[in-house]
Amino acid sequence: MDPNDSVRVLFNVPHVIPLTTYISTYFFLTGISAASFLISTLAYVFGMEKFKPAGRIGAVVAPIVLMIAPLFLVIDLEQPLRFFHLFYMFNFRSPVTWGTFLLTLYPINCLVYLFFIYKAEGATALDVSKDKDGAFKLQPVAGGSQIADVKITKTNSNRKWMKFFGSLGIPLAILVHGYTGFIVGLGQGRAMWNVSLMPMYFLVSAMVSGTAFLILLCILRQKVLGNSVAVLKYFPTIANDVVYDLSKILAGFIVLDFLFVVSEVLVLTSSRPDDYAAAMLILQGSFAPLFVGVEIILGLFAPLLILAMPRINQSRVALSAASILVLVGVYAMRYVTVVGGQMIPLN
Amino acid sequence: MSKRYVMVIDLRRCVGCHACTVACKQENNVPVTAFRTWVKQVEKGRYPNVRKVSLPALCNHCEKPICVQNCPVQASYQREDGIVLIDYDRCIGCKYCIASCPYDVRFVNPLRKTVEKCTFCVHRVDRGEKPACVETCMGKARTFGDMNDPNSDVSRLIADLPVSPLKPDSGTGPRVYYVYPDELAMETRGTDANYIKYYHRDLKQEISLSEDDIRERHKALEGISRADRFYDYRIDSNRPIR
Repeated sequence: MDPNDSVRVLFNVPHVIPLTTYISTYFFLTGISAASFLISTLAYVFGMEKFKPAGRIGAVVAPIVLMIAPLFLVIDLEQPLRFFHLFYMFNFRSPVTWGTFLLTLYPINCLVYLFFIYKAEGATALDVSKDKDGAFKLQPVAGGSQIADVKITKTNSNRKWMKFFGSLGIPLAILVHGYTGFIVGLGQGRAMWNVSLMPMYFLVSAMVSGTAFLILLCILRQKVLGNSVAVLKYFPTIANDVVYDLSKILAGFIVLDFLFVVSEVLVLTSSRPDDYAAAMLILQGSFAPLFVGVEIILGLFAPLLILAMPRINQSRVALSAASILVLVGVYAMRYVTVVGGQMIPLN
Repeated sequence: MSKRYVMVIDLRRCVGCHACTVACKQENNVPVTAFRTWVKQVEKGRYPNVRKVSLPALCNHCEKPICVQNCPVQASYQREDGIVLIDYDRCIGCKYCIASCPYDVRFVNPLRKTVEKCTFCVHRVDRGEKPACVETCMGKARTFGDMNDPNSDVSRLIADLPVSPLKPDSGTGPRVYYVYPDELAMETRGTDANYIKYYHRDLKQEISLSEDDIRERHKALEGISRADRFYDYRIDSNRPIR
């Protein structure tokens, strides 16, 4: 007889789960911000011209989302008014302190980067005009040769700064989301958290959610904003094949994310008793519907299926549906990790 | 050599009377819904061979406390003698320490709105007294003392008897030792769905208490409980210079 069968806990005091939805929402938002930024650098740092219009949306979204995200952290504090303690009582061994500074530096860097994108590539470089049929056309700025020269040198230096802040932003973006992985990873008491794979798993799922969010925004931009002159100036038209390319990137990240999920769960099942309990909780316990149903099936398999189907994966409706599913799935992943990770009793 | 305070709990002597839980609450004026120390009770075996095991639990005042490492504002700190304390003026209540503690001994004080936990009754220890739970234990199951003093009671118990801390593999170096540790009682039982539910039940709801009720009961001991009167929990750099 298994001795565990004959053990019953008669009494124990209750324990409240300390970190809940605010924290998982915060993780979700930083992930989106970091990934949008990284995709925008594809165009503006690594020079993939094709992604420029989409990258611009990414560059706009990154700072906005990241300015909203820390609000969730402050609300979650028991003493929200003491949040400023973080800035002068820091402890450099704590990942939360790393985050304090990353969350301050990264959005500033994002804004500067965005500023130089518009300086270098915005209204100065392109001129919007209508051709005979009434369709909009983007043309290089026309003008006297001297003025054009001045403009080009200025644009070049702006471009250099754009590249500089873009490259500076890449490690910052990775860290600003990576550190949240360390917050979870350094939670020594929690079996599901204290895994060396955790920061990487967080980064990959961030890329998944960020790419999906960007696809959704690209499609929305085409549907909602239209092609008026004012819009074109700030958000150039996004070609269909760019969205399609982004969806291929998304598919790649989904596959990678799935590999991470599999390797994490597989190792959990054959580790210490607490790890096994965590694996059972998400595989067949109370978190199974959320983990298996929403995160894996709805959030990874269903969108991958949509992206793999030859004709359907060109349609914007299907792509939007896939993106929304991915976003829901990644949110479920954050929730399962944060709340599910704290479900396992520690005594 | 500096002092290193530890506690040794003799599980053979614990009868599960919960007097330590009560004494701790009185001494430290712990709010109704929270516990700094408690006694987990486990029944093992099948009829007719049944045995009840009690497992007192409290902060382990680890050698390498993960809560101190993870506290972003250095509110959790460790004294020279190993006692881990919280500066309630610094704590912002981010709850990261609660999430990272392997023993789940920390909680948010619903009235003070900061995290707190067992202090080894540091206000008593500094005056040469024993912690309240040790003083009150009728079976003399709890022993408190300096581990670095070879003649202390705790040193002798640790040297003479089979002792083990909870989760010795947690890597934090826990310093609450259990004599004749009971493996089955110490297990975490995370695969039991009913236990998971029970473990996270809401006590406030269970005994239908409102926030005001908790505050009212807390007031009854305010100023009488000795913890607040005799010890300044603020870390040195936070104290006003006199």
